[in-house]
Amino acid sequence: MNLGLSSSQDATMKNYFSMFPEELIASILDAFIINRPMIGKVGGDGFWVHQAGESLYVALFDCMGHGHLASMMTRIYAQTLEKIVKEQEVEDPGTVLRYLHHNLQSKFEGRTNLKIGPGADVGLIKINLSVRKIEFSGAKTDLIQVVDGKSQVIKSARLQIGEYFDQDHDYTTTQLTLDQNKTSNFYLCSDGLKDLIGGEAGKKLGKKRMFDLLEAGYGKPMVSQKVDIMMELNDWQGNHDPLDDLLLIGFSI
Amino acid sequence: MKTSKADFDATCNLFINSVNNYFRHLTEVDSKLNVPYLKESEGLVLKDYTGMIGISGNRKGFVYISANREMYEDLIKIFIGIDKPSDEDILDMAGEISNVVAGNVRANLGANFMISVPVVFQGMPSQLKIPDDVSIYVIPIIWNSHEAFVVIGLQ
Repeated sequence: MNLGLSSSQDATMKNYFSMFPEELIASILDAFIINRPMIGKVGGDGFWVHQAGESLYVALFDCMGHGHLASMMTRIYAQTLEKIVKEQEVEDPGTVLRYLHHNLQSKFEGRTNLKIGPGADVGLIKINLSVRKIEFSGAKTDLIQVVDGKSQVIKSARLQIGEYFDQDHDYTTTQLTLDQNKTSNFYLCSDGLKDLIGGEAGKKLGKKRMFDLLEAGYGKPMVSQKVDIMMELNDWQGNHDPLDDLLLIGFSI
Repeated sequence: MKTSKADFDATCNLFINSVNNYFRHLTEVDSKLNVPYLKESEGLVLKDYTGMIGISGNRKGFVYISANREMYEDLIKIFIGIDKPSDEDILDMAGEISNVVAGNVRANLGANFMISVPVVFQGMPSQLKIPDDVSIYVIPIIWNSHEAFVVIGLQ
């Protein structure tokens, strides 16, 4: 039944995606974003991009839950990151994550019986655009680097943001100086990528296939990689229903 | 295929039960039903924020749940713990409730009752057009002192 409503009248996607400016990252870097909520148009995976002078900040967060309720939580994360980096001018990624956790703690500690938890896996990258330097800090979200078709993992801390308030959340920053003569591809992804159900046996994609997929794109422009990865993921998934939101951010430097 | 009166009544009852269950189980505050009525005059009954879902398959039509901001604010406080939700949060809450209510009805009616993902809007979109051959059933409910409309339109 045609009720005359087009997507331009529907505020759902507009609200969700206006917080995640894909255009900003793509205007600065050779980059792509694949964002596939598990149900409907919105979900609990989100990203945040901010440029300050020579620095570009890219964060990915995988909030608990799915759908509209989780999408509200992604806004809290994006708005809190905005406040910490833009207004409070905190620049070190590890410190930003500690501030983020403390902000979430002050908002949610002691709140019981919520239908959706405030916890999230977060990966935050600070890219120095002039000297090809990367700084990274993560909370249950690793950074994947691919050079010469081989991947390596820059490990994150194992504690989520916004959970386990009685434990010490010490997020540190890893600094990477990049080879001037070789392209590095970087990827941040939510759990939904390696956990994508598919194949003949209905299994998870798994880390091995995920790394193979990312390594196979080395040397190609990011826009081509996006097309290839989407096609591979669709082939893998087949008719299986997804069990999680899926977000993958890739960029080349 | 036109929906028979018996089918229509049965579908409406499923929505009423789904709404009651939603509030009872997720908020632990029961909703109260006011007298439902068939809407005959032109125009729709809408509150400030609405989540609307299209219905296809054996039955064709729509269902929407419409309420004022205060009701969604109370729900968000219970579900997420946000004290001062934004307009975007309110619209997400409108989408969530219509999605869950319609999803539960779908679980009862099976694969021939298909639902779209929700469309959410504030106020009354000028482009919204309801076909003339749709029977519209309005179910006013009260939850936590807030009035909301569950509106079902079926061909």
